Amino acid sequence: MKRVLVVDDSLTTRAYYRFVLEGAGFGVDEAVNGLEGLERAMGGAFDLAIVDVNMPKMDGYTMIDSLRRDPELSSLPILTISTEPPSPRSETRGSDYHIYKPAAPEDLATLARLLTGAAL
Amino acid sequence: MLVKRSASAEPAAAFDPKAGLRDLDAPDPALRRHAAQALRQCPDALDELCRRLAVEPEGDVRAALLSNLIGQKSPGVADRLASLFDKGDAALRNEVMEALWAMPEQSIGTMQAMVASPDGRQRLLAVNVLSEIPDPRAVELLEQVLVREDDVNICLAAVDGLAHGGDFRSAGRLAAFAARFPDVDQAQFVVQSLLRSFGATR
Amino acid sequence: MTGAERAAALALYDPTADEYNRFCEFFYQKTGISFNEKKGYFVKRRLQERSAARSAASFRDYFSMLRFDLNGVELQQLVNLLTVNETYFLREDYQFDALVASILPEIAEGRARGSVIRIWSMPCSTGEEPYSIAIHILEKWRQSDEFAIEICGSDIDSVVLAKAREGRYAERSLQRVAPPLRRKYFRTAGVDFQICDELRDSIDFSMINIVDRIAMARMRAVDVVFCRNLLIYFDDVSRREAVELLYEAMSPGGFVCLGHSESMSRISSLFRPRKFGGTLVYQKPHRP
Repeated sequence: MKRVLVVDDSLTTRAYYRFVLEGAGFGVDEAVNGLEGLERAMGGAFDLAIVDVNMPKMDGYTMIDSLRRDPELSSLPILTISTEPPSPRSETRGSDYHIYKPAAPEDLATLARLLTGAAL
Repeated sequence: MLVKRSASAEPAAAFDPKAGLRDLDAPDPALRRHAAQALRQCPDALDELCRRLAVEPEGDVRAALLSNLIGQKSPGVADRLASLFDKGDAALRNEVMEALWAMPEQSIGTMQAMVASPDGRQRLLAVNVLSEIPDPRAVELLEQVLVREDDVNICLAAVDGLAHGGDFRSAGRLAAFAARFPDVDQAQFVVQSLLRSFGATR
Repeated sequence: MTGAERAAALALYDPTADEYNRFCEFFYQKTGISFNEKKGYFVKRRLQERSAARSAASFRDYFSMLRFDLNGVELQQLVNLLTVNETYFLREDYQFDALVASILPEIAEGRARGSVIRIWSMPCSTGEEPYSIAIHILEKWRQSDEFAIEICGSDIDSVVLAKAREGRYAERSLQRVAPPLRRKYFRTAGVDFQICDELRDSIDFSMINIVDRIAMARMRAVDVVFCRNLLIYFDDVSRREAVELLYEAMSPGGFVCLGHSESMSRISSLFRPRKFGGTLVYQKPHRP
C-alpha cells in the first residue's frame, strides 16, 4: 500500500484528505506543521507528501527545501496545496505539482495516484 | 578523558537599557538576541522591539523579540503585533500568529477588528488566531464568519476553530455555511463530521 | 474485588486494535507524545483503568469522553498516568549510541585536540543519566582521550542532586549494566552499588531550574544536551521559554536529545532535526 504524508496545520483539512486518500486506497500519516512533516518524512517510508504552504513553525517551502537537500528524501514526490500560486524561494526543485485550496477530491485522488505511480 | 567542569560562565555585565536599545540593530545577531532578552519588562522598549521585529532576518533573534513581547502582553502589544501582519514575510506572519496565541485574552479585541478587514489575508489571519482562543467571544466571532464570509477558505479556517472550541450550539451556523457552498466537497465533509461529533456528546 | 475479578472487569474496556490506533493518533495530536510497541500493554492497561474510573460503558465511550472533554482534565490525568518515569542506567541508550557514533565525531571534527567538549544532562535526576553517558563515552568512543570531556548534570530538586553526587544505587538501577561494566565502574556497598570515585569526581552537578534565566546563564558553550522527558510536563509558554534558554546555553552546531516520544516540532523551530541511524536529534544551526 502506498503511503501519503499529509502536512497541514488545519485539523479538518487533514481529516478530509485522510478520508479521500484512504478511500482511494492509500495509507495516510499526518503532520501539523513543516517541522513535524520533516521529522515524519525522515522517519517513515512515504511515497508522496502533500504539503500545505502556510503553516506555523516551518512553512511548506522551507520543509520542501530541507527534504530536497537530504539525499535520502530528495526524490520524494511532493504536491503543494495553497490559496496562493506556487513560488518556492530557493533553487531546489520545489514541489512536483501545485493545486489550489479547497482541493477537489477527484484531483487529490488522481494526483496522488499519478505522483506515486499507482494505477490510475 | 573526563574532566570536571571547573567554573560557571561569567555572569552578565550590568545591563544598560540605552546600550540594549542600540544593540537591537547591531551587526552581530548574537548581540541583537541578547539585547532582545535584556530588554525584558521594559515597556519603553516596546516600539523599538516591534520595529526591529519587522525587519529582523534571523529566526532566533525574532524568537527572542517575540518572547519579550509575550512577556509584556497587553491589548496594546497585541495591536502592535497585529500591525506587523502585512510588513513581513510568511515566516514572520506565522510567528506573530503564534505570539498572539500566547496572549489570547489580550488579542480578542484586536482580532475582532481584524476579522472585519477588507483584506482577505488579514481576515484569514484573524480567524487563525481566534481558532486557538478558548473564549466564548472567539467562538461567537468564528460563527459570524461562517454566516458572512464569502471566501470559502476563510470559512474553512473558522470551522477549524469551532472544531477546537465549539459545540452543538454552533450546529446551525455550520449547516448554514455548508448550504452556502454546496459544490465544495471539503465544506460538506467537514461540517458533516463536526456535526456528527457534536451529536456524539449529547 | 480480587485481582482476577478486577482483571475481568477491566477486560470490558480492552480497546480493539483499531480503537487503540485511533487513540494513539489522537493522543499524539494532542500532546506530541507517542508510544512504541513495547509500551502497548502498559498504555492499554492505563486506558482500561481510566475507563473504569470514569464508569464508561465501553472503551469507545471513554474515548468519546476524552475527545470532547473541553477542559482537558481527563487528558491531563491520562498524560500524568502514562508518563510516570523510571530512571535507571543506560535507559534509552540508542541515543548514547548515536552520541558516540555520530554526534561526537561530528563535533570533534575541526576541534583542536585537548579542547573541551561539554555534555549536559538536564534534568539529571539521581545521576544515572550523566554517569551512563560517561561510561558509554569511555567505553565506546575511540577519541575520548583526545578531548577534555566535561559532563554536567543539573536538576531543580536538591534531594535527587544529593543522591547523584553520592553515586550510590540499588541493584534495580543497574539492570541494564552488564557485569564487566559493573566491575569496572562500580564497587559494591552492601546490597547497593557505588560509582567509583574517579567517575564520581569528574561529573559536575548543579542545581538549575530550566526556566530560570539567571540560573541557566551559568551554562554556556554546551555541545550536547540530554533533556529527556522534562518538557512534556510544561505548558506551552514554559516549554518555549525552556527551549530558548537551552538554545542560549548551547554552542552553534550543538545537539539536543529529547526523550524517545518527544519532539521539538510543536515547541520551537529554533533547532533543526537531524537523523543518525534511527535516532532523531536536534541541532542548533551553525552561524554562517
